[in-house]
Amino acid sequence: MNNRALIVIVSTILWFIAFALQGAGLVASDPHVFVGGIPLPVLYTLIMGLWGVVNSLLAYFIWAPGFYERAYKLLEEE
Amino acid sequence: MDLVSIVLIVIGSYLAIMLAIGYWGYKKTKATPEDYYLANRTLGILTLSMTFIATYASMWTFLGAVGGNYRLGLTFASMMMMWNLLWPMMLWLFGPRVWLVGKKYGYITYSELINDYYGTSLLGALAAVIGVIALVPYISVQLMGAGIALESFTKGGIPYIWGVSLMFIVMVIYVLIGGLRSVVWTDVLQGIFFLTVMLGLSLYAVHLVGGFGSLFTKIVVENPDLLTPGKQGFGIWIGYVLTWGNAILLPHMFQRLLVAKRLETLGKSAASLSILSGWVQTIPVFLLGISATILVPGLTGKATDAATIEFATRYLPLWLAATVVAGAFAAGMSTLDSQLLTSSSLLLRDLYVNPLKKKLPPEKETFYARLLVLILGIIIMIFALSRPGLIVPISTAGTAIAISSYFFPLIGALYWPRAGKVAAYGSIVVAAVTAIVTWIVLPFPLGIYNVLWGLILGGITYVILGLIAPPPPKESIDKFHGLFKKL
Repeated sequence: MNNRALIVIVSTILWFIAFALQGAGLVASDPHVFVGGIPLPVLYTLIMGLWGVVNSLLAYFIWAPGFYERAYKLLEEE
Repeated sequence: MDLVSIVLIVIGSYLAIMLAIGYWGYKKTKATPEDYYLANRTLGILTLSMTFIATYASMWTFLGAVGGNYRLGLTFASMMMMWNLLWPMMLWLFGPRVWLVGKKYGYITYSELINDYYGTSLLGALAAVIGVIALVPYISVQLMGAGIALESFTKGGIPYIWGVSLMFIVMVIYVLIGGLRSVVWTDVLQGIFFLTVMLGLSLYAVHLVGGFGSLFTKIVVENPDLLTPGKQGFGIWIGYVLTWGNAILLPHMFQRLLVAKRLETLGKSAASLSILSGWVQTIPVFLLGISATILVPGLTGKATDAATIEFATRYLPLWLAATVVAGAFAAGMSTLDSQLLTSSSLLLRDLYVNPLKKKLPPEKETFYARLLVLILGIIIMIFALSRPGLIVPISTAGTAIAISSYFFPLIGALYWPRAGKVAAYGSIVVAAVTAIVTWIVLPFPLGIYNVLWGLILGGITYVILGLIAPPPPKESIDKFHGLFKKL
């Protein structure tokens, strides 16, 4: 496994854990705390949402390109 | 003009457009199974992304998920955000390798892939039976939703049977004649339509409450639980996330991994779907759900599923409210058409052509595929007209059964060359039985949702049998893992 794939995988696992902590009610659970006019739990969910998008973009931009080239070569081999 | 006439004009116009697209698909479709089921593997970024999102988001998203946010607020929204981001990420885990072997060896269904890898023809048949069990009730939910939405919106002016029949007739015609081409192009239009309707509705609801600041302040004062996460047990929370986060394993979603024209298309779709599914779908549903607690107060239990329709009826002009009902139709039909087409492929290829090693001419196989679409459609229509009360829990459990059963045999085929067919049979049976038992006999032991029990026991079975039973045939390992090693 190359370093690029590792970055994507580690980021995704950390994202999963951070999001699950909110699902368990262990972090960012007090709605009375406002940050920039947004309740903290809502803000935390939005940040997790952004992080999730970043994971997909990371996969697309840093991991996928080399993979595509190798896959097409394999398809041409017979 | 009276309510029923307005609704019939709006819904009728919408359905006429769907039929026109279906006819266009028919003119383009060739009489081969690969063209009928997979549009000859030629989908580009727009069609692939939109057919993924439109197939994934169903009538339940439009009605039930708004109700879920109405009842549980952020607890539901954070769960929905996570699974709506997780399934595009799972595209990266399964998508490229499935696409590669699908393209190289010509697979049309999940069963064909695992049959070939594990060197058996009955494993796929078993998976197909589970797939049909998962899909048939799920399909009926969409039809029932159409009937209920029209009946409740028109206060009984359009009876349930009319709503069900309208959706059924139009959808069966375009799936029957145009196959996947009709399905994906109607999906493009329907996806754009229902996402736009949901976004517009949610922004209007927030505007009526007085803006975002006012919405959050009112809810924190009046009902802070709605913005407090973790109000549902974690076992159920993570169970829902793992069920819908792995939705790519459902037969009608899995087939979409095989239809991309190029591998980049699949990668671009995965990236764009993280925005379309994670944000464009989730945030409006959350905003509409929590705004409705202020604008349409007092709904409880199952009545919260009608929050979208109630809101539209109270706050929108009649013709616009009818457009919202058409949006619900779009969400339902775009899921239903794909499920029907895939169910036909499961029955024809995985339970007839492959296990019995039939060699049918392409025209004849395509004819049978169309015939099965019609027969299945009629069975599902009869099922929906009987209005079974347990349809929603049955469809949810069916989904959980399919996902927990399909997971490990596919992981083995793509990533772990050690486990052979004994492990695959064992895992499918143990996961399916566990998911059924932990739903019906011992409902959700320790507060953990049935998909998780199915995955845990199915996974343990797969690993143990994988280590002690024979591995897959050497030629299969070379064919799959030999190929993947070069990636």
